[in-house]
Amino acid sequence: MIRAFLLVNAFLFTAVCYLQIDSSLSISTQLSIISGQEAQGFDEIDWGFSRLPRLVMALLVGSVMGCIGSVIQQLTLNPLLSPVTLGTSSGAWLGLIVLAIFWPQGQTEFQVFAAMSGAALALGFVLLISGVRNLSGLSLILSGMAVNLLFGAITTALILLNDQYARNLFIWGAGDLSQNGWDKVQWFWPHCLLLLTILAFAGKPLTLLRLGQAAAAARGLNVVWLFVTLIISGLWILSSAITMVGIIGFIGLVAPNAARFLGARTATSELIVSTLLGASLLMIADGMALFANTLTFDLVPTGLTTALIGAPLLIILIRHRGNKKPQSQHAFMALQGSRTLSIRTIILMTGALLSVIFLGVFTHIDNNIYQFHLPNEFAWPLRWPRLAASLFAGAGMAVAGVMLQRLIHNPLASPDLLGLSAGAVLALILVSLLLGIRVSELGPLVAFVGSMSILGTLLLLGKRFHFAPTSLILTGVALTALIETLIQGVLMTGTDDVYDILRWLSGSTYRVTPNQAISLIVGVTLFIVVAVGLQRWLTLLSIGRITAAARGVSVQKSFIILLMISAGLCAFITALVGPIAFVSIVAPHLAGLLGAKKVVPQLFFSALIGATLLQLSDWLGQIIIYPNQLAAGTVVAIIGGSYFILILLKNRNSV
Amino acid sequence: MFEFSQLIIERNQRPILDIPNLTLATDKLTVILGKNGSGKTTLMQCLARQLHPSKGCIRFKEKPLLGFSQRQLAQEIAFLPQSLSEAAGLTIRELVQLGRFPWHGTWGRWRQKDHDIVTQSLKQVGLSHYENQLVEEASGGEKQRAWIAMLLAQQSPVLLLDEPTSALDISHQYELLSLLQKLNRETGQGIIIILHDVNLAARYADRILAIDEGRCVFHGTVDDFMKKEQLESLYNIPMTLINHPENNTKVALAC
Repeated sequence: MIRAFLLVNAFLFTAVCYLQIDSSLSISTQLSIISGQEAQGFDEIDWGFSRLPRLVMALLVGSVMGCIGSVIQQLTLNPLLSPVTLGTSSGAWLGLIVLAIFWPQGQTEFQVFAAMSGAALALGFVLLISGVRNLSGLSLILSGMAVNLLFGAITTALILLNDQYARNLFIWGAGDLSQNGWDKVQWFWPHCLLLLTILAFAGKPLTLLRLGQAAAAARGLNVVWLFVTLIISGLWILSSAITMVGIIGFIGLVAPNAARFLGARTATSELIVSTLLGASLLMIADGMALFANTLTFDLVPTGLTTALIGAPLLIILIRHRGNKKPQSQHAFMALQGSRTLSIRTIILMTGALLSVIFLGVFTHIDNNIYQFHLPNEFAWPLRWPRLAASLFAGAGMAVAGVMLQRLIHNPLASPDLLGLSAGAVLALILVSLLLGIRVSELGPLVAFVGSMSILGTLLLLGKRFHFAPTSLILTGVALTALIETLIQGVLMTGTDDVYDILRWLSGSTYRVTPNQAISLIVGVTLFIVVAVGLQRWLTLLSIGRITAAARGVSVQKSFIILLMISAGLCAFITALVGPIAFVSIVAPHLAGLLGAKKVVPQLFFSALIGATLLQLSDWLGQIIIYPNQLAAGTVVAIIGGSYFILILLKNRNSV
Repeated sequence: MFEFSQLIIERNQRPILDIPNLTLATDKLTVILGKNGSGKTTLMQCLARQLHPSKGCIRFKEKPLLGFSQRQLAQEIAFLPQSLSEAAGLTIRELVQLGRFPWHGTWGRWRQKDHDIVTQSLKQVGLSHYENQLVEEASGGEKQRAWIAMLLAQQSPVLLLDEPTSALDISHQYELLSLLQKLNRETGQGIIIILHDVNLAARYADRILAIDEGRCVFHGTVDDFMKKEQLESLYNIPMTLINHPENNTKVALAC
């Protein structure tokens, strides 16, 4: 009781402090405004119509995030899920962008529906990929991140092609709570009534669900019905919150974990404490943002300060968990299809590679006419570095993917999920902001240093939990999320550099110089040779750490070396070409499907497929929307992501 | 020879294994018996250096276990864990080949001798005809035998097996133990094995090690172990011993 009393007092004190930031009004004036007195003068109006609704909004949105986060985590029995890790936030973001671009008039009325459909679509994909019965494992988080990447790539492509409509959405994407009046609060609060229903009724069935789905069903719980009801109402409140203030990550993830940490044991108490904690956390984060705004001229979005508080908390939670026994990993093996590599498949795939190279070399577009002829002496020096870049970047990313998936024992892992690409982006942006150089002029060195410092951080943090795969990849996910919020914050400053950065982010091959192309060829070849040289380690480690150790591989050393090779390869390519998503997931998977199941054939065959895929994407990006161009990285994310989802759906049906 | 001195393993500040003094022979067939959760697997993980003791140490061949490099250790000790991984995408033969890793390492060449050893190991567990089958498509028993073949191919002087019979039918259980006994007699390989079947243990073991609540409660010959009071205090249920109708051994019945 005393503890609860103290907490309530602390909460009220924080709220009062929040209201004092950068405000010259006395507390008695503030009280009289709250009690309904007419506000007079700029300061009072500003306080009554901007600060006060902002506080209410922060509290409402915070409680929504905390409560929905707790619902999702209890439904899935997975303590590391949140609206952001499930891909719903990026889905909502995509829905809103589509609405803004294709039907700007509808924005006033249909924003919630657009956000809601986007979020539901994303969640649907995630559930289909990982399977409804497999909600507690790492696969769910990885498929959430994959869907995030796919939707992010589509959103980036849409923004780049329609920048006049999308410009003002950047601020929104970074999460911004500023209010000018009570309209938004008026609109939003009825949606929050659903929360009360959830708080009142969800506790009992959620308690039963802790037994596991099968056991809960055996006690008479309609699991599917519970799931559908809770998810739909959760998504609805969430989408309306996102429509109002944009994406605010981390609270949904951190609040329930903190609630459990503070001793909220039963389902209902976890729901309530998470809701209150979410509200307090967002209030504190927003207070920080307000305070930062008084120091700088730029607008500091709340999403940024939330991430600054949330990401370290999350990493602490992961480290805390790391000492416990890792939860059972349902290794996700969609490796059906051919059993061994047939000569015919090899010939077919080599043919595919040769034909995309042929297309890349000979296709020209002149005055809207597609032509085939040998490139002339002016075109060739422009063309070959680009061709080499796509081929070798594709091959390299595929090899990095094979290695990481075997190390982490999860076929959905890919090196860009470890936060390496994000690290490169951050380094580039920081250098360009601090030193004032444009991104395109910066050496790939900066990007490489950025990725490598992320890898260093990962290895430092990972030492504590002996590089357990789950904890490692979760730390990577947390770092990625933090850095992406930072990037959003920088993008929001809205200078022209933003579009340069977005173009680099989409992974394009047309800036690659002949020298860079040569270093790419040499570097990737070297990395692949080393990877093939260490194939016996890779085979043994992919069977299991105990097995590897019992056969005489010193596990920690070989794990770190292989991880560094995979990450180094990814960082090297990202530095020269930009982030290339999905090749590292799709190519190894496709190779396995076609029969390359052992390490060496899978390495080579994935490289072959990766090269084909990226070159094909580059070529398509040049011709489909001519005279515009889409970057290879964007096209490959869309092709790869769609293929990935399709193949998983197909496998799901046949199982 | 494994020598334990003041070995303590703690989990959550509670000792789960406490063996002040024990010497385990590495030239005999030793069976470890005990109830669920008594610490058998923990003990074996310590022997295989998969788990580091909280206090004390184990010496092997008069050298601390930690003094071996990972490859030296694998050349001396071959360990089969209780739960076997998927080994996806490998055929049974390829799995067995992995047992040769300690001998030629990361880049060493394969010789004819290595291939012969693999072939012979497959034959010993009766999987010669299935060597090109994928491990994930094999039945539980075939998979377990494939892993045992890998262990044989490793040709280490000491084999540690944690419940290798859990997925085997009764005939394969006896075949496996006959095979291990034969190996022990012919090549002098020491075998330490965890079993749950008292009679299987009694039939093949040279020595029995019984563990209860993290402590060693018996270490000696089979004849000394097969006593009514001994078995009852180990398993906490009434037991009866009867004479085998045909040979001069005892059979334990739980009743």
